[in-house]
Amino acid sequence: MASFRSRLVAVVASVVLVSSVAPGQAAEPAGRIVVGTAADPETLDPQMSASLPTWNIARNTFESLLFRDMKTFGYRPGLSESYRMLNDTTWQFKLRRGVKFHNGEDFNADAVKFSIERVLNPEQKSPSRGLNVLIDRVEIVDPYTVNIVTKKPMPMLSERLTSPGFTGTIPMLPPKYVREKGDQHFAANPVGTGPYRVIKWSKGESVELEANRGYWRAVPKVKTIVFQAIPEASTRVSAILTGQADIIASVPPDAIDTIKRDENIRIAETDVDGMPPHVQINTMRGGPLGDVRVRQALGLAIDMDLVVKRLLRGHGVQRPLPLDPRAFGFNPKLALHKPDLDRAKKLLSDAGYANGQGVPELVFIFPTGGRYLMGEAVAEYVAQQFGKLGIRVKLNPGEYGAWLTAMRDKKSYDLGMIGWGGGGRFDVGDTMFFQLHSQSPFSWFDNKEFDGILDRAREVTDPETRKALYAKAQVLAIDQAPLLPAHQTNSIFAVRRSVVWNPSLGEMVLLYEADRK
Amino acid sequence: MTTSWLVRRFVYAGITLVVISMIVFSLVRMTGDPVLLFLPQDASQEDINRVRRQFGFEDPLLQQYRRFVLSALRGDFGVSIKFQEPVLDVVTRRVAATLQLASAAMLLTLGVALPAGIVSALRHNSTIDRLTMIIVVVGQSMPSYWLGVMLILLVSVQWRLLPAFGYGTLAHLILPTLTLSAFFIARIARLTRSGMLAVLKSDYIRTAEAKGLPATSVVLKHAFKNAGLPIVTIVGIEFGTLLGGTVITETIFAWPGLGRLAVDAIYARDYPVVQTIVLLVSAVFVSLNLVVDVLYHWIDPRIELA
Repeated sequence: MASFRSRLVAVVASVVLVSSVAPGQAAEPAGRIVVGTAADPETLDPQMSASLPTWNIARNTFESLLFRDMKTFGYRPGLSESYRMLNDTTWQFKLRRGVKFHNGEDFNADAVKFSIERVLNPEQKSPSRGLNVLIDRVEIVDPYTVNIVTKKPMPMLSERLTSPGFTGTIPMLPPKYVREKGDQHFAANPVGTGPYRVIKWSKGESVELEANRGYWRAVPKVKTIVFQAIPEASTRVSAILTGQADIIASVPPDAIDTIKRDENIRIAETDVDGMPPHVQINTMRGGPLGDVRVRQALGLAIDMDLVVKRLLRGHGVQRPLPLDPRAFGFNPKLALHKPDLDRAKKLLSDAGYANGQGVPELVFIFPTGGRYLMGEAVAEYVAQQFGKLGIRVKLNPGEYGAWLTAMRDKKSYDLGMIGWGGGGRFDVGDTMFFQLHSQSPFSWFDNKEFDGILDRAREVTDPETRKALYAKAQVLAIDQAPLLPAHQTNSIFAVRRSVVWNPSLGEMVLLYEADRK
Repeated sequence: MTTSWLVRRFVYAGITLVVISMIVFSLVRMTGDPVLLFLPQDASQEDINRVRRQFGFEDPLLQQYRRFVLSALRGDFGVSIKFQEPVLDVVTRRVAATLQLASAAMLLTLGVALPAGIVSALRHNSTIDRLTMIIVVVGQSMPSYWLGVMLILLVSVQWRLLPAFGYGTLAHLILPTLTLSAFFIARIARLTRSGMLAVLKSDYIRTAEAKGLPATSVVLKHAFKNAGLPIVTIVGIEFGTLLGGTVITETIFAWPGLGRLAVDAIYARDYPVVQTIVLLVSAVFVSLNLVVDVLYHWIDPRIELA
C-alpha cells in the first residue's frame, strides 16, 4: 500500500513537471554572462538619456513598435503586428495582443500614447524630444489600435519607433507603473517589455538583468546578465583574461595580440561602427576654404586607405562619405577616394595659393580621451599631409564638453572631427542633415542646393523618390568637398569561448540570443 | 583647551567653507554648459535654450548662488543633472566605498610605516635600516597607475589569487589598498625614521636612559611622542586626501568611490554634484585640521591653542 502511494505521488509529481514545460517552450534559462563595459549608466530610463551605457541596458530590457532585423537592417513587426499610412501624416499601428510589461501590466494603446506623450512633454526634459517634435498627437482607436498623427509628413517616424535604438527612439513604458512610482523610482527600477528585466543596479558598479520568463517571444537561454563597469582599459583586458568577465567592450587595438594568445578567448568585431568620425572643412568663413578647389586639394592630400591599414591596423574601412552602406538611401555608385598629391598641388596653385602661400594656419578641433578609435592619430596625420601642401595646421584637442561646444561654433574653426550615426539612425538623410545641412547646429557647410534636396527628401514618404534625392545629395557632397575622405572604425570586443555571442552592430550589446556552451 | 577657542575655530571653518563654495560655484560655471552634454549631440538650439531655462541656468549668477546656499543650508543640495536624482543620494552612496578604501589604506600605512620607521631609526645604518630605505625609495617613486596595473597582472592574471577589480568583499579590497598605501607607507616610514633619529640624539632621551627606564618606555613614551608631531600633521592631511577619493586607484580597480564620481561630474559639468563633493571634501579637510590641532596640544601641551 505504501509503495503504491509513493508510486502515485511520483506519477503526480512527474505530471506536474511535464505540464510546467509547455509544448514548444525552451528550457529554463540558466547560467550567467558578465559584460565588462567602459562606463556605467547614469540612469536606466532610456527616454531620459543620450548615453551609450544606458541604451545598451535598454536594448535588452525595452522594446518599441517595430524591430530592426539585425541581418538585413530592415523593419520587422515588434510590439505592433502591422502598420499602414491612412494619409501622409497619419500612421495606424495594430498592436500585438497579450504582451505584458515586467510588472505584469498589459501593453496596449494606453502605453503607446503615454510613452510618446512623455517624450514630447517639454516639462519631461527628454533628450529625445527634439527628434520627435513633428509628432502632433496620438489617438487611441481601440485598445489595440493607435493612430499617430504628425504635423507634416515625417518619414523618419518609423525609425523613431524601432528598437534596438538610441536617443530619439521611443521605447514603450508602462503607464500605470510610471505614474504611480514616479520618474525617479522608474529611473532606478525600470520596467519594459524586453527579454530581460533589471533586478539590481549597484550604481557606479554594475547592473544585473534576469531573463523575463513571461517574455512574449521565446524566453532567453541565459538566466543572468551582468553589465559591469570597468573604466580602465587594461583592467578590462585583465577581467577577461581572469574570467571575471565573459565579454568585454572597447578593446584597445594594442591589447589584441595579448588577448589572442589565450586560446579560451576570441576577438569579435563588428565590420563597421555606426559612428564614423569624419573631418569637416569650414566653408562658412569665406577665404581659401570657401573655394571648392582648395577643399578638393585638401582631400586629395589624404590617403584614407593608409590610415585604415596603418593607424587603425585594419580595424576599419575606407568610405566615400561618412555614411553607413547599410543605411537607407546609401548611394552605392560613389567611388572610393584616391589620393593624388600632384593634382592637389595643381588645384591649389590654380586657386591662387601655390605652395600654400596665402592660406592662414588652419585650426583643427577634435575630441580627446579615445572618443574615436585612433582619433588623435588621424588628426596628426591630416596635419602632416597638409604640411606637404605648404599649409600649416594648429591641432586643438579638447575634452569632450569643450570640444562639443567648439563644434557648435560655426565662426571660429577651420577643421573639425565629429562622428554621426549610431543604432537609431538608419537613414542617410538623417545623418547627412546633421553633417551638412546649413540648419544643423554642427554643420559648417552652407549650400542652398544641398539644403533644398535634403528638405524635399525629408518630407517625401515614397521610399524610391527619397532614395533618388538622397543619391543626388551624396554626389553633391563629394563634388563640393565639405568633408575630407571618410573612414569607418570597428567596434572591438573580446569574448570567452564558453559564451555564444557576437556583436551585431557598432557598440551595441544585444544579449537576447546569447548562450553558454 | 577653552570653549572660546573652539567656537572661534568653528567660525573660521564656516568662513572657509563659504569662500570655497563661492569659488567652486563660479569656477565650475566658467568651464562650460551641462545642457549640451545632457542633450544628444543633435539637439536643436531651441531645445538647448529651453532645457537651460528649466534648469535655471539663465538666471543671474548671484540669484543662482543664493538659491544654492539657501537650499544647501536646509540640507538640500539639489538634483544631479546627469543622474536625475538628489545629489545627496548620489554622493552618500560613493562615500561608503571611499571611506572603506581610505580607512583600510590608512590602517595598513600606520601598521607598517610606524614600526618600520622606528626600527630603522633604532638600528640606524644597519641592514634593516638600509633595506627599509631602499623599499621607501621604491615605494615613493612607483606611480599608482603603474603599481595597480602590475599588481593586477601578477596577482590576478598570472597567479589567479585575487579578483582583478570590483567592490564588495575583503578579497576585492586588498589590491586597491596595497596600491593606495605604497606611497604613504614610504612617506610616513621615512618621516618617522628621521623624526626618531633627531629625537634619539637629544639630551632628555639620554637622561631617560640614564635613569634606567625600560627601553620600550624610552622609545615609545619619550621619543616617539615627540617625534610624532610632524607625523600627525602628515597623516591628517593624507587621510583628508584619501577621503576626497583617489581617482587613479578607483579607476584602475573599478572602485565606485568619490574620486571617480567627482571627475565624471566635472566632465559632465554636473554643477550640483561637483559643488557638493568639493564642499564635502573641504569640510572633511577643515575638520581634520581641527583634529590635528587638538592632537598637537595633547601630544605637546606647550603648543598654544590660538
